[in-house]
Amino acid sequence: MEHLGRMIGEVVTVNVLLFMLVGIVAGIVAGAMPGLTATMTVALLAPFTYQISDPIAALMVLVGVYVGSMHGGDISAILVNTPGTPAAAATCIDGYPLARQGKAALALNTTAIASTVGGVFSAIVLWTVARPIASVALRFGPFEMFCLAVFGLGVIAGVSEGDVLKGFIMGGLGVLFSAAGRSPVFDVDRLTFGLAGLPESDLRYIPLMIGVFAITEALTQVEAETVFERAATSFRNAFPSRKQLKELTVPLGLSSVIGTIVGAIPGAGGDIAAYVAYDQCKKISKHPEEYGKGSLEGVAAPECANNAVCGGAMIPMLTLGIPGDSVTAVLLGAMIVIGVRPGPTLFQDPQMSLILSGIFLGLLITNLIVFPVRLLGVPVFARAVSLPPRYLWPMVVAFCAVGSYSMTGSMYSAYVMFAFGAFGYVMKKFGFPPGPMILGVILGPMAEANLHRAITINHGRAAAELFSPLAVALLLLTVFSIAFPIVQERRKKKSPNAAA
Amino acid sequence: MKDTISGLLMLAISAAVWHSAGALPAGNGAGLGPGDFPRGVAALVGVLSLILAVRGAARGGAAGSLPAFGPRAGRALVFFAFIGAYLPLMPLVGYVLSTSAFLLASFALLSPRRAVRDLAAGAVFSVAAAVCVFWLFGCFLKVPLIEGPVDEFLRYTIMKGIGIA
Repeated sequence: MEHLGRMIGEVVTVNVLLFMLVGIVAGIVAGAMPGLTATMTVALLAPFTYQISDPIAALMVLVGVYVGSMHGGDISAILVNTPGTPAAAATCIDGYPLARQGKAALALNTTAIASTVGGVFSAIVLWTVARPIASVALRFGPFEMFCLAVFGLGVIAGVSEGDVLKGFIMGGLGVLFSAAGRSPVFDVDRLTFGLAGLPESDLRYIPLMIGVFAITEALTQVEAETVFERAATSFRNAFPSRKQLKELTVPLGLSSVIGTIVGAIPGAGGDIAAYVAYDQCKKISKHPEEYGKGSLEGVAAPECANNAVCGGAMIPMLTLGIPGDSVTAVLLGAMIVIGVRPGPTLFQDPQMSLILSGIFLGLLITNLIVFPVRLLGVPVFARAVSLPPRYLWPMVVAFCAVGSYSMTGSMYSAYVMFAFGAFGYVMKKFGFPPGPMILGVILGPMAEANLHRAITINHGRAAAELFSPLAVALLLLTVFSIAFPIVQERRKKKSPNAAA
Repeated sequence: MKDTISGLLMLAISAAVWHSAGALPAGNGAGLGPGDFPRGVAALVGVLSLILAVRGAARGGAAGSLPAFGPRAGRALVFFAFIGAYLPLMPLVGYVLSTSAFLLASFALLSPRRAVRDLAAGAVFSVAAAVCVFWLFGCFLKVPLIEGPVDEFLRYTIMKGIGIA
C-alpha cells in the first residue's frame, strides 16, 4: 500500500502528466495522419525523451505516443476511409459508412469510448500478469535467453508485410548492424569498415530507427503525394444513447480480451486483433446484417481490440525483453536509451521497481486521460488528416535532424540517420519491410551475449546438455511462430476471397 | 529481376561482413570469438539472399520487374538531395538558417503552385517554424542543437530580451 502510494506520488505529478499529455496529443495527431505511423512517431520523439531527466516522465511521453496513435488511427479511417495506422484498417468498414450517413461525430465518440475501455482493460491485465511471468523468466539460463532472443527474431515472420524471406534477410542485416562498432561483450571494434567513432551501441538505435522509419516514409510520401481530402462534417457532440451503450457492452468485453491476448502474442499486432474482434463480434451480434453498413458495434469492436493490444504487447516486451511488433521494438530501443532495459531482471532491480510500477500506472492513467483529450480535440485532430505534404514532410525531416543530432551531440548520428533513410527507401522499393531490421538490431546483442555466456558455462560438457526442456520448447515455439504466418499467408492467397 | 538484384546485393553485403569478421579472432571452444557471431549471421543472410536471387530468377513475372518508382520519383530524389545538403549546412551556418533554407526549398519543391504569393507564405512558414523548433527544443527543452551566429543572436538577444530563453 505504501509502495502504491509512493508510485502514485511519482506518476501523478504535474510534470509527468504534462509530458504524458504531450505524448498523447502527438500520438493522436500522428495516428490521425495517414503516413505517420505509431512506430515512426515513437522513433521521432525518442531522442527528445533522452533529454528529460525524470525517466518516468520520459517513458510517459513514449507511452502517451503509443496509446495516442492507436486512438488517432480511427479518425482518418472514419473521415476519409483511410486508416491512419494499419491497426485502424478494420474501422473503415463501418466507420466510413457512418460518416457518409452524417454520423461521423457519433462514430468518433463511440470509438473514443471503445478505445478507452480496451486500453484500460489491457493496462490492468498487464499490471496483474507481468510480475508472475517475469518471475518465471528469471529462471532462464543464458541458453534459454538465447533461445528467447531467437524466438523474438522468429516474430519477423509475422511483421514482414508479405515476403517472409525478405523479412528474415532484413532481420539478419539488423543483427549485423547491431554488431558493428565496439562490442560490449568482447571490448573490440568490429565491422566498422574504416568508419571510426560509431555511436555507442545503445545510442545507435535511435538514428537508425529514425532513418529507416521517418526519412524512408518522408521520401515515400513525397514520391506518392497523396492528399487526403476530408469530407465536410459536423463535430457537434453526438454520443451513443444508453441503449446503444448497453448493446456495446458484450462486444467491448470480448474485444478487450481478444485485443489483449493477440497483443501478447509476439508478431500479431493491432491490425490482426482488430479484424479478429470485428469477425467475432459480428458472429455473436444480434444485428450482424448491419455490419459493413455503418454498425456502431462494427467501429467499437476493432477500436477496442487494437487499443487493448497496447497493454498486451507490453507483456512480452517488459517481462521477457521481446518486442512483439515494430512499435514495441522501437519503444524497447527507446527505453534502453533512457536507461530502462526491459526483461525479467528489470523486475528484480529495486531501483527499477518504481519505474516499472510507474509504467503500469502510467499506462492506465494515459488510457484514462486520452479519453477527454480525444473528445475535446476531435475537430482539431480531424484537420491533421488533410495537412498538405509541403508543410508536413519537411517539418518531419527537420525534427529528425534535431532528434538524431541531440542523441550524441554529433553530426555523425545525423549522417547515420541519413544513410539509413536512403537504405530504407531503396530496400522498400525492392519490397523489403523495415520492421524486421529493428527487431534484429534490438535482439542481436541479446542473442550474441547469451550464446557466448552459454557456451562459456557449458565448456567441457556435451552440447546436448544445453538443450533443456525449456530451451527446446522455446525453439519449437520459434518454429511455430515462423511457420504459422507463412501457412496463414498461403491460405489467404489460395482463398477465393483473397482479393476482397 | 527485382528480387535477383536485391538478392545479389544482400549477398555482396553478407560476403563483405563475412570477410571483415574473418579478420577478428575466432573462438576457442570455451566461448565465442568476436567474429564468430557476425560470421554466422552473415552466412545465414548470405544463404537467404542466394535463395532470394535464385527464386527471383526462376519466377520472372512480378518478381522479374524492376522496382516501381512513382511518377514523382524525381521529386523524391531532389527532396533527398535537399536533406543531403541540409545536414552538412547545419554545422556551417547553425540550426535556424539551415533549417529555414531547407524548409523553404522543400516547400517550393512540394508546392503545387509556385506563385510569388505562395513562396512568400512558404518563406514566412519556414522561418517561423525554424525559430519555433529552435526555441522549443534548444531553449525550452534544453536539447543540444548546433548554433551559429544567428542562433546565438536569437537566444541571447531576442529570446533572453523577452524572457523566453
